[in-house]
Amino acid sequence: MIPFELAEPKSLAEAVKLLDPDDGLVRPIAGGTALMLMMKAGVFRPKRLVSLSKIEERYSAIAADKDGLRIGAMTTLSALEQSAEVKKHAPVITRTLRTLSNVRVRNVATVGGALAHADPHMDLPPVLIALGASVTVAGPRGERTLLVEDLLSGYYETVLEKNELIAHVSVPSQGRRRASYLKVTSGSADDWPALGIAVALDGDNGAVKSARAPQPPKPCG
Amino acid sequence: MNVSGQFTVPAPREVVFNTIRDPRTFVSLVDGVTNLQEIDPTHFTATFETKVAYMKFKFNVAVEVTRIEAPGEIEARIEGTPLGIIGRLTATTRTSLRESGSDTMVDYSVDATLAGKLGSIGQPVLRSKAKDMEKQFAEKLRATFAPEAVR
Repeated sequence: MIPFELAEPKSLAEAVKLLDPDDGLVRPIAGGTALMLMMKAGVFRPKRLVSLSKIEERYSAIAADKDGLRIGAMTTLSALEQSAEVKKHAPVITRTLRTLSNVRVRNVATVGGALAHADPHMDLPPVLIALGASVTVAGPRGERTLLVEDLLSGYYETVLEKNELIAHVSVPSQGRRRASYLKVTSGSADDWPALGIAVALDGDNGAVKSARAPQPPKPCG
Repeated sequence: MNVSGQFTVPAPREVVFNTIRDPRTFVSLVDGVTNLQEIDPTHFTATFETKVAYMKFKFNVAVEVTRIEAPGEIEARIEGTPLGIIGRLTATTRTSLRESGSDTMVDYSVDATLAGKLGSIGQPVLRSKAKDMEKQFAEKLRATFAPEAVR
C-alpha cells in the first residue's frame, strides 16, 4: 500500500478545513469499510485521509421527537439497528439492518458513510429515500439540507463538494405509513443487494392514499 | 453484460469506416488510451486508464480484430488485465455502419464480462462508464468530420 497522511481532527469544523475542494485524493473516512476495500483493491490511492472517528460525540447520537429521527452521520449501523427510538419511529430501518452485511461491518460502518460512498448496491439509501429522509451537509460556507434522493448523482457519486461532510440525517417518523424493503442477492441473505426495492405507503381504510419509492436511475448518455 | 447504442456521423460510410479502421485514428477518439502497439494488422496492445468517481482503473489491453467487411462491419475481441487489482475484462464488439442519406449511422454492440475483484466493483458501473465513453467517442468522431459544428 502506498503511504498516505492520516488526519484525526477533533471537530467536524476542523475536518472540513482539512479537506481539499480541488483534490480528489484527499477524502474523509468514517467507518472505512467501503473505502478500505477500494484501497486494498488498488483503485483508490489517497494522499490524505481525514478520519472522522474523533469528532464531537453528538454526530454519533440518535435523537427523536414527535416528527421523527435526527441521526448523527457517525452513528454506526449497529447503533441504528439496536436503537429503540429507530424501532419506534422507523421500524423498516431496524428490519432492513438485520440483513445488511454482517455484524462486524455494522459495528463500524456509519450512516453518513453509507450515503456518501454512493455505492449503487446498498440497502440503506433506498429505504431512507422511501421514508423521505434528508441530510444536513456541513461545508466551509455553513450548512445546507437536501433530500437523500438529491444527494446521489451517479455510481459512487454525490452532489457533495470535496470539502463537504454529511453532519446528520433526518428521517420523518413512519407514523401510520407502512414501509417495506425487499432485496435480492446473488449470495447469502446478508450479501450486497443485486436488487433492492423500498416503498412507503400511506393508507386509509384499506386504500393507498400515497406511495413513495426511489425512482430508477436516469438513463445515461 | 451487453452495452449497445447508435449514433450518426456527418460523413459518407467509406470515410467513416476508414477512420475507425485506422488504429491510430481510432485510439485518438477514445479518452485514456495510450501506448498503442501494432503487433500485426489485426492484433494490437495498448494501455487504457479511466476514472469512476474517485477511483482510477488502469488496464493492459490486447485487441484482436476478428472480422472486417469493408465498408460496413468490424468485429473485435478485447482482453483487459487491470493493473493493481485482480480481475479480467473480456469483451467482443460488433460495429456496423449503415448509410443514412449523406450521413452514416454507426451501430455498436459490446458483450463484456468482468471477473475477479474487478467484477465486484460492479457491472452497472461499467455500463455507466461505457455510455459516457460512447458519448465522448461519438462527439470526437463527429468533430473529425465537422470540426466547426459538433452536433
